[in-house]
Amino acid sequence: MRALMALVLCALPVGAGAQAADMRQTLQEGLIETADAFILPAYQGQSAGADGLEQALVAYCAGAGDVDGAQDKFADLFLAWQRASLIATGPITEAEGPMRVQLWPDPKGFSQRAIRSALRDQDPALLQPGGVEGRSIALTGLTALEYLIYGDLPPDSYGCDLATAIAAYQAELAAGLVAHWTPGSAYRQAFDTAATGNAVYGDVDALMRELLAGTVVHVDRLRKFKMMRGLGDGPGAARPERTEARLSGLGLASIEASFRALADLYNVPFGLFDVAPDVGGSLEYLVLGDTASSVADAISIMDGTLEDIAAADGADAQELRRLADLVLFHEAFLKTGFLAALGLSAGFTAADGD
Amino acid sequence: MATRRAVLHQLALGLGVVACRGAVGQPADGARYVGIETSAVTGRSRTSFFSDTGRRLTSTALDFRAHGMAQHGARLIVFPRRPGDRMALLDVTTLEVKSVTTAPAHRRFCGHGAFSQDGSHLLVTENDLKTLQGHVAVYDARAGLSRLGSIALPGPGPHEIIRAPGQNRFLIALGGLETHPDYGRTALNLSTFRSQLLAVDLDTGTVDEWGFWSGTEGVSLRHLAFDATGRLYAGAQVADAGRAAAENVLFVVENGQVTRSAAGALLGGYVSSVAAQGSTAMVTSKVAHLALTLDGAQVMSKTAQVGASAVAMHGDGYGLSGYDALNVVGATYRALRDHEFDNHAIFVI
Repeated sequence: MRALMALVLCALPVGAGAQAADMRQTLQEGLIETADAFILPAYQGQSAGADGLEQALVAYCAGAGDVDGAQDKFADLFLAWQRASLIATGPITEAEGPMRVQLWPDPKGFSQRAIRSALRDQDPALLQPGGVEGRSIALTGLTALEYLIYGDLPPDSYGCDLATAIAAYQAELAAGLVAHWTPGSAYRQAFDTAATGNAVYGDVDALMRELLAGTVVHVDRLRKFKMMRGLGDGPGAARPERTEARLSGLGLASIEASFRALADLYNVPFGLFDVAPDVGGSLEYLVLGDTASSVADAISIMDGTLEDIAAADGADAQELRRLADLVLFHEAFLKTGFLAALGLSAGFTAADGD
Repeated sequence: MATRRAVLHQLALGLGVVACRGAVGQPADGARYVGIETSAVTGRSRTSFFSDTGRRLTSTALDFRAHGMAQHGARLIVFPRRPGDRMALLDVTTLEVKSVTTAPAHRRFCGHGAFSQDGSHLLVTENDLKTLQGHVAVYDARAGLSRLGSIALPGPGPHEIIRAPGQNRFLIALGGLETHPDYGRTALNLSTFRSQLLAVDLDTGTVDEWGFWSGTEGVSLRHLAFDATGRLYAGAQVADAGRAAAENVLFVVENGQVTRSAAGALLGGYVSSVAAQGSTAMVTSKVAHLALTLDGAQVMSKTAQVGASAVAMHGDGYGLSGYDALNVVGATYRALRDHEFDNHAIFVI
């Protein structure tokens, strides 16, 4: 009997360990599918958008196109980035992080000041290949580009060439992200093998926590900045001048793209969220995915720009405030609910040190 | 109108509160080691007290995410993680928060502070949100904390401040990075910043620049400690990987001579915290999951610790925590549920 008990006691941890290993392997496979089906395509979209904008600007600045074409391409890049920015994991977090692409909110007007200063100084070095790299993020991102492209931008001008140089930098940055996320790269190797541990990710738990932490930051920004910053807490509190992308009028589409990205991330077939229920995880992602998709649909049929809606401060503004509250459910799920359902701790805050 | 029963009920409650305050306020074991544990759920921290006898005493809730600490006598100041705007004064005998002090408008605390030698003043590193330049705030600490003013620093991003032993001279790691809370923690001058150490004399208000050391391009000096022999250990973090050499994150200053420790190559370009005692020091790296014990620039031993961050030294012992585990002089503690041990800790002296 004693021998039997010893056998049982010894066998339990081994069985539990094997089960845990199976669970983490399943989650790893879900993460790989998420990378292949959502993350990499999102960066490819961003890369294509940046290439398209650079080409449109080259043509326009040479007098061979119109500014509307460049503005259309800017919109493609801008919205592609809103989708890709849901991922704040891995290479995008290097250096200044996602703000290398879009420095917003910019309450101090750093981008506008940087562009004005550059237009005044007309430094030819900025226009050389690679000349924008390493300069202030106030000068090199989408906020600066918007200021140029939706401002006074005559062809064959320093400003036009500067816009082209910034677009080229963004194209290079996006291409780098695509390269990093392409299977076989050093980063993807680390991502794909987290379950067995490597120098970047000690285990698949660390990778999941990092991925989820990035999405939490994104949804927090979606609610606080993209929506509530300009709309305020309630009627009478709207501040239209604080809405995103006022010059291009893309603020509302930006919110829609963010919700759409959230829905698509949840709904990747056999992706992280989809496989989690197989190993004891939550099914809540299904409801959240549907909700995010419905919110995106609702926003897509709203009239006017986000700035107009905030200025009117009417029914649409109130509806957007209501939709912003729904983001809190996503935040709670991504912050703690998903991992807790798997029996994993949600502790990850200490990793971002100082 | 209050009934007799209601009055007795109120009295009973009041007596209970008084009795409980006494019980909680005078723990059987004194607090010896103080760590910070931060909740992943709320993002707020707790100040956790541990005794000499291997007991977790209590964890006092804060309404902000904490970073560094400074202690003088019974007073413990817990500073917020930058760019926080509140710091808490706790009593290390009752383990209670006595007061919370808010930064002035357009100023944010940078995570660290230090008491003057007699404990009458508290110096706190600050960021001026209008200029993005660093300051050291000076508080009268004789009765609570009342702000006296601030000393301007010659650059942005001050981080840890420590007092030179036996003097009212303070050393500051001027990290060099411009940040503004509206932009999160993103560095706004990443490609051009430089970092150096500064010395501030509290009595005269003068600030001496130590100058930019060779090899510190792209690294931000952040954490400091003096050992008993007067050696200063400085830990840095790579901020601009394009300019920095990852091994250039650990320096020792002795008799005015700066030595780059080759041990910096083991730290993954990131020093989490630094502590010193006697003739040794310890540095941690949550990137390398490693703690090093040093004698000057020489490595005496290595300790593996997942997420190695907070370290404190006292006597022959030390306390070292990673994300979810803390070891203090032989006793091991797990982090509170849904919490992790954060960046810094101290021994109560």
